[in-house]
Amino acid sequence: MSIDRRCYGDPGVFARELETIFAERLFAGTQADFARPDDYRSLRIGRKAVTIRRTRSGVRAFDNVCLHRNALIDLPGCGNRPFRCGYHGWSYADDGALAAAPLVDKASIARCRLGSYPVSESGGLHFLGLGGAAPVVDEVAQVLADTGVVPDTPFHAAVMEHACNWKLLVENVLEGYHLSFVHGDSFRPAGFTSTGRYAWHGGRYTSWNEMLPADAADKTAALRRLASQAGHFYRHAYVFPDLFLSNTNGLVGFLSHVIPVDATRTRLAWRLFELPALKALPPALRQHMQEEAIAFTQQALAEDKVLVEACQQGLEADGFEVQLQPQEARIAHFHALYLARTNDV
Amino acid sequence: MTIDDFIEKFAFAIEVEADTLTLDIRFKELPSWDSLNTLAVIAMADADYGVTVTGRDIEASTTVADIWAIVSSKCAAAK
Repeated sequence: MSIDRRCYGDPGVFARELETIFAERLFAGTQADFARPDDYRSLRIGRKAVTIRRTRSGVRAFDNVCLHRNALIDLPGCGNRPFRCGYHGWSYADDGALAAAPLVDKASIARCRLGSYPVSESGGLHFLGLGGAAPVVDEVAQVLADTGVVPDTPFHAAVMEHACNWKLLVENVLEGYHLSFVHGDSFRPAGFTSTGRYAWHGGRYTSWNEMLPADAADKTAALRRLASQAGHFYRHAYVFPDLFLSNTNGLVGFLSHVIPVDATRTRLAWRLFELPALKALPPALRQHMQEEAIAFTQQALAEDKVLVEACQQGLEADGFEVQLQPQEARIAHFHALYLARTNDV
Repeated sequence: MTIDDFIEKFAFAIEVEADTLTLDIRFKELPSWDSLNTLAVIAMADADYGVTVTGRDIEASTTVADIWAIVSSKCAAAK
């Protein structure tokens, strides 16, 4: 059973997805995002504006709307600053309580604590529980180990806007069937095609796969001459509902997450980081591989964008339910995860 | 550090026989040339000569002599 095609554009379905799926577990950032006290990432999802901050008592998440006049306390994005509204200087403590408010009449203050949300951490990844329950993360460390992804400080980060529902972006990265057709200037020359060797595994809220090139295109030996821990493979992990990680050749790590804007618009935030084998190489090699990885990723994402947006347009026209193929088993797994959480959506 | 020695190391890096290479060979036109060879040449320059050759250096080069000129000038500058 697949997700009904009407779920890819209906604002009512989208609103309920925010209340259920995205309230269960939402990617909040990596260890590198919250390395120092007062490091923050502020985000908006649906009608919720939330800031995730490194406090003296760990990484905490709070409503990001000042109790005074509703200004955002931390402006959208990330950075390092005291937990203080920039408008009139109302400051907040590590537990979200109003700590200082210059020149106020205390009798006029009825609300004096920001709402807060649980944050769970695993493998250097932080997740937010907007529904009030701590997000379950017990599969995350294993999926990182299975794919060999070790999240680290990014050497490049960017955001790409897509005119499509968030689920189309998820589905697109869960199969390698399209590689030969769509990625003529990225994955295909790198040896990864629709007919490559493919294995996958699905859990309760994660899945991952490994793609290997055909024997004739296998460059494992050449890669191992450069770095003994490298190989010729592409491993990809998904943490439901919004996070993707990948490991290319044991050298370059990729992290991206979908940020649903509305039923038909989605932002993809992505970053690249070095895996330990790349960090051990001489600076000139690292620099070159970083440049190659940026160019490769920009190319691959641009190639995908055309097709996922084409899917959105097709879904908005008369059409049929999807007919998933054996190579798309991870999409079927995603649909099962989605439907198990949204039986009445 | 001789030209012959360099050609041997260059050939080893890109996995071709040294006697098939000469200074005027347009190395990017070799059938076996691919992006991994760029990495291999960068690694060879670092490991064997202790100098940094960049991807842009290789992109701007056409012949083995061009790479030799870059490596030898960087070695001289490092002394």
